[in-house]
Amino acid sequence: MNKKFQNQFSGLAFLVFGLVTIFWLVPASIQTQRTAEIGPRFWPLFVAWLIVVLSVALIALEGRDKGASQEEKTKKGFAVLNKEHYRVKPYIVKPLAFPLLGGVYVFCIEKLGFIVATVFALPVFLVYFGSRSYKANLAIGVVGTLLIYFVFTRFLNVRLPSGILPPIF
Amino acid sequence: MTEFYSAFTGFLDPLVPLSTVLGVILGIIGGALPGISPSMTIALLLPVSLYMPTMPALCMLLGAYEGAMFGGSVSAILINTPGTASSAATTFDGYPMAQSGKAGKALRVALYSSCTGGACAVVILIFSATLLAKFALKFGPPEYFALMLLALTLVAGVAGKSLIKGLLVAGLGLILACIGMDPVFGTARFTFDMMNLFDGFALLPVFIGLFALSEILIQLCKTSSSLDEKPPRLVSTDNRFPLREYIRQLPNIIKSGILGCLVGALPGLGGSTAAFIAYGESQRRSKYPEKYGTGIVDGVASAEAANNGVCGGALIPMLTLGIPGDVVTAILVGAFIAHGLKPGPLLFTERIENVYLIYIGMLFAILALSVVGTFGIPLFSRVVSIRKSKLFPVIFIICIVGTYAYHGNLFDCYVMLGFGILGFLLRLYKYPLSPLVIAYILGPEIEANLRVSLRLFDYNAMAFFTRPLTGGLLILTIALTIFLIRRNYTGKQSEDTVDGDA
Repeated sequence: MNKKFQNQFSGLAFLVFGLVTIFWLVPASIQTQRTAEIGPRFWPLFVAWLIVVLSVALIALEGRDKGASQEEKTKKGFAVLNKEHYRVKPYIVKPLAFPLLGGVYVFCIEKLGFIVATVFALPVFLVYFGSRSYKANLAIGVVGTLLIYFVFTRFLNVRLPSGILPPIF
Repeated sequence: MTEFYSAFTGFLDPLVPLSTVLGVILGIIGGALPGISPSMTIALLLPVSLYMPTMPALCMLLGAYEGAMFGGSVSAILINTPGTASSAATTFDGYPMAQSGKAGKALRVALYSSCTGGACAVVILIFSATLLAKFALKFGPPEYFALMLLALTLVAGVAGKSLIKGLLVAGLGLILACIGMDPVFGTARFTFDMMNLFDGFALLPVFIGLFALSEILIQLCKTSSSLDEKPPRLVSTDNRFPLREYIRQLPNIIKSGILGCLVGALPGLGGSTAAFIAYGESQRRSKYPEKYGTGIVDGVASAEAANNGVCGGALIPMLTLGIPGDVVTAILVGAFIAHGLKPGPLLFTERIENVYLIYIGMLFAILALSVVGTFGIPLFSRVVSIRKSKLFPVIFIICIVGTYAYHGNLFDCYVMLGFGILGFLLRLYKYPLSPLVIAYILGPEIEANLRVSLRLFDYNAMAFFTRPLTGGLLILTIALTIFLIRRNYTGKQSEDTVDGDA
């Protein structure tokens, strides 16, 4: 994405975050202290207003499309986001989907235990990262899981969730 | 003197030197692996350190810091891919040396320059820290507020290419730091009655998510075939770095080490800036500047001495003022706090033996680096051949287990995943991460100092300017902001100062 569009888009996201903080998050989650001149809401509101001002400045100053090319149509000197800019780029789908996979893995740790969840998850992650050798993936899955389990439970005395299996070491 | 003997006796406990050596080894491995930065290495070691006694844990992390700064040069020299941002300048001469069959020599130059530069910086740290800490004892809440504001502005301004973007992520860090209890009234903020949020987000999931997971996600932007590629290794025929040549390089190395230390002491600049400045300075003063970039020893020596010099320099504001200047020291502050030590001037009055032990540990780490590096270069050179497709999934599992180990709580793992996405998106949109993490650490202190100061001044904000030091620092902050904004919009900023080595 063009730098100008990046700044406009991210500036807009910060602006929304700042406004949501001021008008919803702070009133909904922080009680006022009537006796105090400076209560618990002061600092978050101060910072949120700062974010609003800075994000407007980012959009205005760094979202400007001074050297716009013919293809990047502009309006009053500002870069204009069109459908193409909103389209999710394929190269960020894979990284953004990975934490979701990670979330499922964490959920499985809770239900099945570390060993069972990791023996299945690690080869999946290896394939996700492009490792093509399936035998190696399975071997790393089993050996890696047991090694990590052994190091953390034996040397560091961490109790990892055992889930459906009894603790083996 | 009694405290020094007590510290030295503490160091003789075998666990301390052993953990320092372990830290150095893991640091070199972490630094040598492309894509694993010093901050990621230390963030991954942090959960392990929490299960160790205080001093061995801290010495391990400091050893890892020194090791990782050198480790970056291994991949920079062997495969022309800096393992850390700090080693980018090393590629200029290191890789051409390796191409001409001198990979072993280049690695030895990098090793001994790193050790000498690092040692210079530790000596400066030892002599300056106590003086600065004594001065800092006179600071009250207004001075601390002004100093932290200055540090944060500096980090926000120089960590990326845009001051506004730096300040925006710093603001985000300050808001995130508000989650939990209000420091004055104890009122819950942004918790929405969730018990897990009453203490705010723990530091460890934040660090691991922002630095380790976000890097894994950045790597995932590459194609599967490039992740599964085995990096080619070069054959070395010349592995010697004779003492005579080392002595000839010594003035260049010492100068670069001192420069690195000074740059490291300034918040936000980091190892890559130090290495580029030292490289440029060495070239400027050289009798044969035209040979720089063709594969000469001087270039590797200056860059490597400077980036290890940063380690000692960055500890000066961290230990004396409690202000982390870069990402690694921010994580170290987290480690100190987790072990019950609060960096700042009081550390020098109440726990001076721990400070001495840190000095001894740093010097021992440099000694260990020279020994481990000398014998381990062939082994560490093999590390760069590990395929990313095999490495990163295993690191992801370690991220999850390390995060879980902190509190034995899977909620932290979800927090880590969330911060990973946040870190990835910010990096994708070219926002520096260091202002966010430093603001997250300093946030509660800045807020508490501001509120106490305002109460002291009877809620008159202009009274800040009636105290000479506070007023001076605030005026400096304003002047710095104007300077950085002008620099942003006159296009004079260097392209190299990107996210100070996150």
